[in-house]
Amino acid sequence: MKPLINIQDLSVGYDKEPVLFDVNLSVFEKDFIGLIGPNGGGKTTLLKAILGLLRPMKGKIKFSEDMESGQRPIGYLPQVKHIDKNFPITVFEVVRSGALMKNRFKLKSAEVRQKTENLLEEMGISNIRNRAIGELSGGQMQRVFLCRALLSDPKILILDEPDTFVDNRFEGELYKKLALLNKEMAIILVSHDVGTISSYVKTIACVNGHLHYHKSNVISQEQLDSYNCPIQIISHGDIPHTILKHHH
Amino acid sequence: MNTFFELFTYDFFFKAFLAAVFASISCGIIGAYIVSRRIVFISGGITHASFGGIGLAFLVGFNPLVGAVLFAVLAALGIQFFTKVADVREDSSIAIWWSLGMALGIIFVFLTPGYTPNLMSYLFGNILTVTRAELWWMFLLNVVIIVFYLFFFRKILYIAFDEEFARAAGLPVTLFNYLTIILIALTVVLNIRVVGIILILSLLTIPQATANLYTNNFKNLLILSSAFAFFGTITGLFISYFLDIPSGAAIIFTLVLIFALLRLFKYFVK
Repeated sequence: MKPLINIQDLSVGYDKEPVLFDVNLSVFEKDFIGLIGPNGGGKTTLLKAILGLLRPMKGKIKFSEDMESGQRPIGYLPQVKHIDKNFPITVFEVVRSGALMKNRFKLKSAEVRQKTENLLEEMGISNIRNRAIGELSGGQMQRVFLCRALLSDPKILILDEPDTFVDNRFEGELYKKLALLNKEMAIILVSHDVGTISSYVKTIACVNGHLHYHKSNVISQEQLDSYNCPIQIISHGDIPHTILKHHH
Repeated sequence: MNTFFELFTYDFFFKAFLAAVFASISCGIIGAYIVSRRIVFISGGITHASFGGIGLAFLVGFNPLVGAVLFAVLAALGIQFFTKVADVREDSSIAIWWSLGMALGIIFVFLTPGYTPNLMSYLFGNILTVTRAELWWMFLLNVVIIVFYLFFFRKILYIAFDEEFARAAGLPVTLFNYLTIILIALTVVLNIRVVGIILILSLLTIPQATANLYTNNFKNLLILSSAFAFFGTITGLFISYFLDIPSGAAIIFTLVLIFALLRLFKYFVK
């Protein structure tokens, strides 16, 4: 099987200073990769490189042919903290803007409108379509941005920390929804919370300067340490149980 | 009431009326963009820097508005350059160009032999002295802005809201940003004669704040801002005529008064 995205020996960063070194990763259809790692380790940098926002300093990112023929059908849900919540824009328009990601010259305006309506309905936020985004709760906001990401019928869905600012109930709903979506598309999920995502993702990639691909969704603290990935596993039981170990 | 309508038969008043219409539309739309994108301060820097060009024009002897455009665009590019290339913090870089432009303006005017009579009208504006040629330029600017926004409305909105997403989707974000900054510079300069360098920020922000009381939808914000700008400018114009006070200041005062009244009204009604 050919990968949708094939990343080879990629070094990338800002202002000639690489944040990530020699990354190799292949994303196949129906993959569900959990991207974990410490802050500043390069998780978001990797996403930006895949999205074409950062140019590789070394190596390359190859897309499969049907990925290239469309306008790179990637659905992207950014970190909500980067969104200006006072911007005068309605829920409907935010979702509709997802059409930019796909053949924006081929989709007819009426089609986009219909798709937008359907997605809002499906996600249960049709009733707030005319609200300004500043009036939404964290969970509603994530739903809106998930709709935007899905509008382009992506082959790959990329989510950057969708579980921040969201209550537990919505978090559960989100992961259920992602499991459904995963039947149709590959998903890359960035999270700082290994404990929660490990039961949903299929594989784990640890990012801290380098990338270590772990072909299972079960990972131990020892393995994290051997990947030079200083994050803590928080088991979500009644009593929070934290293992703290930092390796340099 | 007779005197009210008679005013329009005077050539100078009719021209002022047209200037108010053109200023309201251009400042309403561009101001809504500036406020939504939180680049009010950059716009202030560009506006004040344009004074340097006006001073240079007085000294060398060419059309002050041409000098103003030159310096406004130069400042817009200079701010970007200082921030991105020279690694100066953005707000500091704005302040540097803001004050540099004003300083150069003052030096140039000081060096200009003889008395420069209409300097005040550039600083504080005088809608009653707008010329026919200036009206044509304002009209042209309005056409350009309206066509640009009609054709690219959604692209402008989506880039303004989430630049990174637009970039990832392959929109020419940098090109759009340069086009909009040039439109801002032109809007500021061509409306200087209406309210002046020092007061123009108000036409770009107060009607927008008033409109923002009633809508959170970008399209409606553009239209409502222009409407409030028009209402305030015309009312201010009449007040300035009947009370015989400077027009620029009267217009700003009216705009603020409208905002304050409607804000209070909203507070008590809710």
